[in-house]
Amino acid sequence: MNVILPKERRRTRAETELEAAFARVGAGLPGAGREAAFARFAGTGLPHRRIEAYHYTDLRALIASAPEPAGRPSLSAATAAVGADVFAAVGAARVVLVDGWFSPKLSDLSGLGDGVTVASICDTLSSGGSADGLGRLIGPGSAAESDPLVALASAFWTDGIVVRVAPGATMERPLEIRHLASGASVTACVRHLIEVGAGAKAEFLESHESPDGVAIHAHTLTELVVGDGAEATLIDRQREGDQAVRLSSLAVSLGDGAKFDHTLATLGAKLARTQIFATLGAKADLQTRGVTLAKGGTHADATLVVEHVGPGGTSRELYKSAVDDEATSVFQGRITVAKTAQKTDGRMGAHAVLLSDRAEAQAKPELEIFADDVACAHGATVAEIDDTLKFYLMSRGIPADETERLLIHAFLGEVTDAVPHEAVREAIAAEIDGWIDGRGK
Amino acid sequence: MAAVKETVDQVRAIDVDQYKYGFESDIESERARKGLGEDVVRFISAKKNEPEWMLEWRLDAYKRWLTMEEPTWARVSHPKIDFQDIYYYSAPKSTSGPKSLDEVDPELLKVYEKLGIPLKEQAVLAGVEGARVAVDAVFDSVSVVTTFREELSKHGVIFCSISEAMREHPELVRRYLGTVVPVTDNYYATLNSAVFSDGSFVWIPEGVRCPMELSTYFRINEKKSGQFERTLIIAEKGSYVSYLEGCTAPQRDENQLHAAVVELIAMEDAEIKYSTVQNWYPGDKDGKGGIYNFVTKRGDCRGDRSKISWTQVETGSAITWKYPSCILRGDDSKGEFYSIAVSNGHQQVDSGTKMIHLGKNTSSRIISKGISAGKSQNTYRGQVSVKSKASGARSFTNCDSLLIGHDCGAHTVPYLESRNPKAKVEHEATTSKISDDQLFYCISRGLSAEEAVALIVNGFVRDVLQQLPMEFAVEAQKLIGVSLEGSVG
Repeated sequence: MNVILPKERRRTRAETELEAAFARVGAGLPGAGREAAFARFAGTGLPHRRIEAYHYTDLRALIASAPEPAGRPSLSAATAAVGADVFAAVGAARVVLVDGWFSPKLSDLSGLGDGVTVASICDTLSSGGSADGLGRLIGPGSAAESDPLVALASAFWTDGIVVRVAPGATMERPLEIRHLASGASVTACVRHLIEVGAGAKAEFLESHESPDGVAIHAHTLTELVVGDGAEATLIDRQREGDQAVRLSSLAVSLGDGAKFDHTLATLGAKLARTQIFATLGAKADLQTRGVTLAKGGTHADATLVVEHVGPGGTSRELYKSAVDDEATSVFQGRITVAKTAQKTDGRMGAHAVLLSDRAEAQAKPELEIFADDVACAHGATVAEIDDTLKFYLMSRGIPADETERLLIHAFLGEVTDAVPHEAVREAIAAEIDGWIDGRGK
Repeated sequence: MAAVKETVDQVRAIDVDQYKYGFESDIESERARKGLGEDVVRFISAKKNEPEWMLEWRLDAYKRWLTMEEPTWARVSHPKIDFQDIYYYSAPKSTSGPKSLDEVDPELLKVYEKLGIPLKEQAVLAGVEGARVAVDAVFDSVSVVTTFREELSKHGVIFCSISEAMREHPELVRRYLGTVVPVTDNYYATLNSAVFSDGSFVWIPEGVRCPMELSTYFRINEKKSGQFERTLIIAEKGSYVSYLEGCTAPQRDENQLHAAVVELIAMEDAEIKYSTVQNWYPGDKDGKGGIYNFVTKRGDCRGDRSKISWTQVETGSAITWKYPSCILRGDDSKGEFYSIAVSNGHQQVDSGTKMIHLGKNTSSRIISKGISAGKSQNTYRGQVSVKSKASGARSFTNCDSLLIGHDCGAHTVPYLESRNPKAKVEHEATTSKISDDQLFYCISRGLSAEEAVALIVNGFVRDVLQQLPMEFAVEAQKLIGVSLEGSVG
């Protein structure tokens, strides 16, 4: 079990490439603190299985090479990247980023209502403005601070948006953030800051897309502040291409009495890791759910760190995955209840269904509790589709392949049915059905 | 281990520091030099009159150990252990092979009497008519006496200290030692392989159901000494054995190290039931002193339809780092883990199990109850891993934690890994406190707050207590009550 590492660890090819890339482009990127962020990353390098949080997702082994950081794509290349919008029926305002660069011409920010401002971080900084609050949620003392992926994104981000919703304001329509790819094999890295003021209401959609066959490495780092008594919804859907690497981190803080409803749909990418670091104030309410579909040789990881800091908070986490072929799904979820967070009610469920002989699922639901007056629980299961259920449906005259389809749909339905926005719910359900129908083809 | 004579009430009178095995006995002993080196390893081996291959084995382990680093992943914190500040071998002087109890140092016998361990063969356990337990008593580094040997040998059962086994049954020891926990397994297991001084050896022949409970009682007495015992239990085809283990140590300000290795091997259709009541000195109410209990326990269900069941009641030790595990190699083999871990004061517990499913239709069941009080931290860490050939494997984990007081922590870290769709892995966990309603009800019926807590806690751990052999269960129940003293109000 114990391996002696030489003091000077040999860097992997990907690490050397990242180092060279940072030396080349780092100084030209906007904002401060990049050197320190890269130094934090370089301290550990790409995280590997001996780092507990990456035990099941060994990035040192999974990432062989890191492509060049993306330059700003031309307008024509950006325009060509825009495909059909899966959330078109929602009628949301739209921010488009291509290869990690904000494209104002392709975006539509109208109709969000008074008190809502959206701007590119790059533009804000270069016009002498300040991105106030940027980095606060991933700073010292936060769970995200020591994470190597957060550090890497903090070093390499090229652009992103700052959204501010004034206290008491209500966003009149949802804002969709589309992350698209021009088709070049590049490292694209964005960072967002979203602040929903006290008592405000806001709804966000995120879509990460890239075509099959493109070896893009897409990083996203989002900081989301939900103010006291505010309500926010975020639906994050990822449908990267079959060669893409998608590494996302979301740090969210919920003020006293704040509500945050979060959905994660992991539908693509060769390698995906989404990590969510949530901190809850007094009587805050976090609902988060996720569905993961993995097939082929893909690896999909959803990692949650939920910290109850204020008393009387509630959190509900439900993550389900369907794993086919030689794919691997990983769920890690930690609920931490600080000494100050008496009367916390936390419940976490993680369930995986294995659809083929070589599919793998790993789950690590953790409870870390320092307050005595709490009710916390978690449950986790991994199995194949229940034979008795199959048998029942078949005995009712439903053909074998159809029963399996129905049962996978029903299994994941528990997650998708809870998605708050109807048009989004239908869009995600349709994608899941498409995935189920495409199995084995 | 017998039910202790003192009643819980008497113990209560001792106040917060209720550890009742904290006495120290003045027994003349013989020690190796302080610290660790090749010479100490040679010294221990020579003391035991070990065959040459055993010395080689130890030296190999020692060389490996020098290259290893201390593990840091467990949720425990302690100052760095100075491995040169420990006596690795300490033996009561009179024990150069007593032929009968009469030859054993009377001081030593007194120690066991105080502990309530019946070393006289006619002794019958309190309250349990006719129950007999064969005891191997390990004092510091050596086994002082093993009881009921004649009767056991009539059934072909070998029950003796491991050093004796190495001399009398070298072929068995050589065949099995280190096959479940390899020399290189982990830092403490490797250290143990180099310096282990004694422990128990059990061999149950084919088809034999061991006629009585076997038991080892461990006692650390000497100052600044570590105890490194090694237990090896082999159940041949179709046999059955139930084995009990108990431990105590004197109350001291220093931390002492206990790094044991236990290996169980169950052949076809064999069953081993291994129960532990661990009550090492936990340190005082300010967290000073206590035993570091860093133990590697592993069972190998080598044959088809074999079964290994671990039951543990953990109330002692300043730090516990212990994961009794099962390798479910044989088809249809079963692994069980029942645990009660009670922590109070400044104790730190990081304990759990590993169930490695290799064979077809293997099953495992994990029931863990953690109770934290005072300023303690109690972590359950368990891994269930289903490998790709383990079709039809089934695993169920239930892990509940109870918090008593505002300054303690309860943590649950399960690892579920499945590589076979025909396997079913389930895990559930809860954490809560004793409900005010339950407490109020009990108090309204005339119980004191402490009695009410003890009652509710005993209800909470009942699933596990039921798995213990009867004479142990009585003791364990009392122990839990005592461990939680001073945690309410």
